[in-house]
Amino acid sequence: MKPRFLLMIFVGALVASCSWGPGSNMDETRDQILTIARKADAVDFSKFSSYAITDSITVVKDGFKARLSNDTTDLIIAEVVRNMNANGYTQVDADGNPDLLVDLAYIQKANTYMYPGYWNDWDWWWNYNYYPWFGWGSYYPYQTWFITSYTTGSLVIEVADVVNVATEQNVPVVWHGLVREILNGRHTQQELLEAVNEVFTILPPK
Amino acid sequence: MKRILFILAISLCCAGVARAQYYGNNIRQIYSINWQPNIPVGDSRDFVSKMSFEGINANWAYFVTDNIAVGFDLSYNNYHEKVGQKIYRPDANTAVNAAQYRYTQAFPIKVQGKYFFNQFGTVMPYAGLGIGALSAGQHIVIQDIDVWDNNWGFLLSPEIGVLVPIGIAGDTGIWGANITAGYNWSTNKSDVGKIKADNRQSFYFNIGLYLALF
Repeated sequence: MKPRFLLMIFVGALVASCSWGPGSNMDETRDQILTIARKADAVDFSKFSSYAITDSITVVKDGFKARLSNDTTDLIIAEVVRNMNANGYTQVDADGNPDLLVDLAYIQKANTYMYPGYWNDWDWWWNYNYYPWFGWGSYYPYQTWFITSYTTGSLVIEVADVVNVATEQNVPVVWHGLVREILNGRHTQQELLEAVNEVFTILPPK
Repeated sequence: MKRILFILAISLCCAGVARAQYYGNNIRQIYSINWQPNIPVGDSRDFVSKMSFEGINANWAYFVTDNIAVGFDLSYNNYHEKVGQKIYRPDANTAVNAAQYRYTQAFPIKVQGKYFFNQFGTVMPYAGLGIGALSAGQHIVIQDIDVWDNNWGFLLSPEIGVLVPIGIAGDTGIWGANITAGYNWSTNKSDVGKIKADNRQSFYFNIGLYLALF
């Protein structure tokens, strides 16, 4: 056998048998779930006992935002409620003088850089007419450096303190949960709910 | 009996001379291409602990004396490993749960000296020492987030190996199999995702073909 021929076979087999690149063996969809929870520094969660939660989710599509309510959002909200209750909080109506407000957002499409507070939908609570004295933006009494950006399909859960907010001030977000790239059609409903549960488990809002 | 031993000795001697003329001091240079699996050692294991099967090596050696050859050695190694879902705490008030895909792409480049112990024999064992540089690109990938570091280091790599001739390559030389075992030690310092390393180390194996030219 000619050496050149053998060499060609050898090199061919070498190249064909390997992926030879960065590649990825993160094929399981579970591997593609990233949850991040961030808690404000020096906040005494023990002074909070009740919360109110939205019945819809803010949908953010670049600069555009709207409220969305369907079977999936109902399931997500129910999972959040279950976790808030498990952490010792009592759910009350928005007009029941809650200590905390829980709001959720879903990034349907992100072509631009999005960061915590990008859409500022807290003024949606204005519809209840119960909190007319707030500034209705949000602010984050902690560094958000770790959450680099939100991407398409991300689900954001924010818990704001409405006890310690002064008139005309933006509400302080004291707990921030992010499930990155979950609502992108690649994950099952079970994975979605597990991820929502996970974000509360890794660092509970308490 | 003495006559038989004498004939046998003469025959062996002649055979040796014939081999010497054929393989030995006529070889001027050796090219080889090899598959190169690597086993990470030491600090390198903290980043990717799994053995790498994705590696290729090319080597050229030029004889400056009958036993000593100098040349170049280039390799590419891809190490990768999946680290399953795990909770990380960057600080007291942050928790991250994610699976990571880690990979390192290493390029050892070295000049090499080799000593052939049995250059006049059929099978040619050798020992070599390489000095050069190693470039390593280390990545931690979580979803579309890629945390990475690229580092260079001074490289030292002793190795032992053997050339086993298989056939004649026309009038130009001989060809055969090359098997090498070596050790790469380099001064690459890295800190990727809080995984620190003061150096890079790995055991490597070359399994391939060589072409020795007269």
